[in-house]
Amino acid sequence: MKTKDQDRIQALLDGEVAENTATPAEQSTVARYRAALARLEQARVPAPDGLAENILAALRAPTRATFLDYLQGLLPQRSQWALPALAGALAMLVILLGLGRLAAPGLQTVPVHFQIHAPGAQQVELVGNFNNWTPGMIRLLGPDASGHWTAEVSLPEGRYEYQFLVNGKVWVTDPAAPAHRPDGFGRENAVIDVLNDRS
Amino acid sequence: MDMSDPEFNAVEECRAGRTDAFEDLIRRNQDAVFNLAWRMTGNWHEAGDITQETFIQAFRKLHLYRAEYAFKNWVMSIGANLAKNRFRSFSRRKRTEEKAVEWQDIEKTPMPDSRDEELAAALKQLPGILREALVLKHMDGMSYEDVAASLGVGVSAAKMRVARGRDELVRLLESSQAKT
Repeated sequence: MKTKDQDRIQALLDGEVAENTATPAEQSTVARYRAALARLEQARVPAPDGLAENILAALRAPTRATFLDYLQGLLPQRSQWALPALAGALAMLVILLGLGRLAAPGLQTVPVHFQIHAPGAQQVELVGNFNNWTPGMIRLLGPDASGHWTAEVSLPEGRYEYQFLVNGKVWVTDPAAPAHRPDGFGRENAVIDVLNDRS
Repeated sequence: MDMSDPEFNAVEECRAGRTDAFEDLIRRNQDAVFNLAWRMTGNWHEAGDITQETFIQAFRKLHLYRAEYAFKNWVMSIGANLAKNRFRSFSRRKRTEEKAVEWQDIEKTPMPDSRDEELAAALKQLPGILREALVLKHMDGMSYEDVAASLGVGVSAAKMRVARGRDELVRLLESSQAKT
């Protein structure tokens, strides 16, 4: 249990209370604390030599080969194959379009409807890992007569995390999202799974 | 993060695929991450490993980083979590073994001789959540807001942890001095 005296010592240490209001006993306690904390501050050391170089080397090092790497390895090394291959691909595309379908379901996007009730807001933005958490890219329209802001965003299939940014400063987690998960900063992100029902 | 902040530009360059820009972010923050990891684990070499892993994870998760937070707070939160999970080291060691580059240079950088052993022993006895708060506040000089962001807790919780950490540290150091 913290006492009022302990709270005062902490406030003095943090500069929240003027030092000249401290009693001699409090000054003595603060001095003991400051001596201990000074030892902590002095114990800071520089990181070992070569650490940054090691990290950069690890980042540049080739990672374990993936199936895509394997497929790329099957391609000819010389560049003359590119034009004939491109021509072939174009021909295939024309044939597929002629058949009325595009054989690339992974690239298809799904319109996703986002909505939040914020009748007093001046501006609402949608920010998530689909736009690298960059504000200013997707603004919701609104408010409508019932105070709702909406946006429709086309997203490829996948799992996404997002939040609404209200008036450029207040982060709001979508209460209507199917799932939520901690964002590591004491709040929660809304989580949505985008599925293409037509594929 | 302030858009005029050089770290903001470095993050944007990294996101654009320029790995070299990450060097600036490492050099600005490596001391803080290393000191936190060292004080959390009490092991010089483990701290080097955690620091390396922290920046590698940060680079790979840059798409999750949000510009409204200071980069340092974000990277410190990764480092603190890795340090806390050091006992679950199997997977980390496995990943380290998979890397093409061996961790060597830190072995050549010895631990400083002039260590405050008494302080190290006192820190070791502190509960982890108090130790990390104390290190961030007093070794790294963070504000309470930054300590809170790095630990993923509210500001009042961060203040409480720092206060309790101070009380415990003073008690432990003074009881150690009384014994000698």
